[in-house]
Amino acid sequence: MAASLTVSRFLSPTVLSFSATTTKLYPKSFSSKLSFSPRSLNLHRRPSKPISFSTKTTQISASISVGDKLPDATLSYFDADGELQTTSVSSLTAGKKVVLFAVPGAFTPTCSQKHLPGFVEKSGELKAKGVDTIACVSVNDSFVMRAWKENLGINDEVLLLSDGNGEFTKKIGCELDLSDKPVGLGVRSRRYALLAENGVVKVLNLEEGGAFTFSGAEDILKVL
Amino acid sequence: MTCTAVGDTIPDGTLSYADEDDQILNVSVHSLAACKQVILVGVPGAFTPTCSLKHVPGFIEKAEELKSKGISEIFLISVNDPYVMKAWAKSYPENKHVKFFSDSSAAYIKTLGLDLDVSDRGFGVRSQRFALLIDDLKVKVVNVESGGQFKVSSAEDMLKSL
Repeated sequence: MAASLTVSRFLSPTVLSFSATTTKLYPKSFSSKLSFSPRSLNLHRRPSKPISFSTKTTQISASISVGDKLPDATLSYFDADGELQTTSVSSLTAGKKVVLFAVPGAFTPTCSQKHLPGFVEKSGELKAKGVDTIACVSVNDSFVMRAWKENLGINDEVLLLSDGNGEFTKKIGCELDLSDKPVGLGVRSRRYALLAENGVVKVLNLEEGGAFTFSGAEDILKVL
Repeated sequence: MTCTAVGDTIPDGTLSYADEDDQILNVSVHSLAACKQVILVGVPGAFTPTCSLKHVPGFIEKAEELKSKGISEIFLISVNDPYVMKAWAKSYPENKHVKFFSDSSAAYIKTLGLDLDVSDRGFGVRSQRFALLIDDLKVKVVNVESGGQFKVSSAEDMLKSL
């Protein structure tokens, strides 16, 4: 016996409301499993190895390159009024100079301590050099992205965009498969920073996995 | 409708968390819950309104009272990665007892039969909202919410059942 469920119901409509611009949500049923069978699972009792996103990740050749038009995709975020909004990559980048950078995960060490704060710090300088929008993309849901933004005290210097289903990340061929790690982060984005003008990639600094060598704000400033 | 029912032995599984050095550690449910009375709380998502503003704070607030009634531990699980769970836990500086665990891949939630498919807007598979009372691995109370409600799985509801 399935109950119909919409995302808005579990998100407590008194606190959150969806604006008219959002994509229509389809009611979802509970996945109800009516049988129960205990399984024996591998138990990990010892601490796992230190997690490093940058080592031994599978090389994935990116689909996107300099000169390409960025593929369209829907990204989401919470606006200043707490309303969930969606934006398309095309509307975000049309007619503008945009710096788009991606991180493997909100609240993860390098991302939180260096990559994102670096762009926030340099946002003034980047905008003085003609950048219209600076956006950070991650395969995390919008609630997590909003909490991360608040945690780091970010206002409108950098837009934090959720690529929750990884749609955009897959389209540009920048997936980072961390599913086999003990931490189970699933498929995330490789770290990168790109400069797009009117949606066309002019500069692409794409790291191996989650390494942080040339995708920072300083690196983008150098090429502007 | 849940798979896990009163009288069942809670299935074993692996949960994870990030420690003070951001190292990810795994732990088995059985090792957490054996020989004690514990409450296992499941929520749809870290930083989401009902979870953050009502469900979790309720358990943080009532933790002492629950402990005085014989509950040794309160474990909170969600289908979020360990770094997100760690950050969410930190957002409750007043929390002394509730332990936040990650079931990133939803593997354990699926074992319990308490998964929820909310693939819209990038949420994927999540946990239903629930609270279980487990006594030395035997499930004593199963309180699972219907849909997006918050009527049976609060700390108050669990206190009533003790």
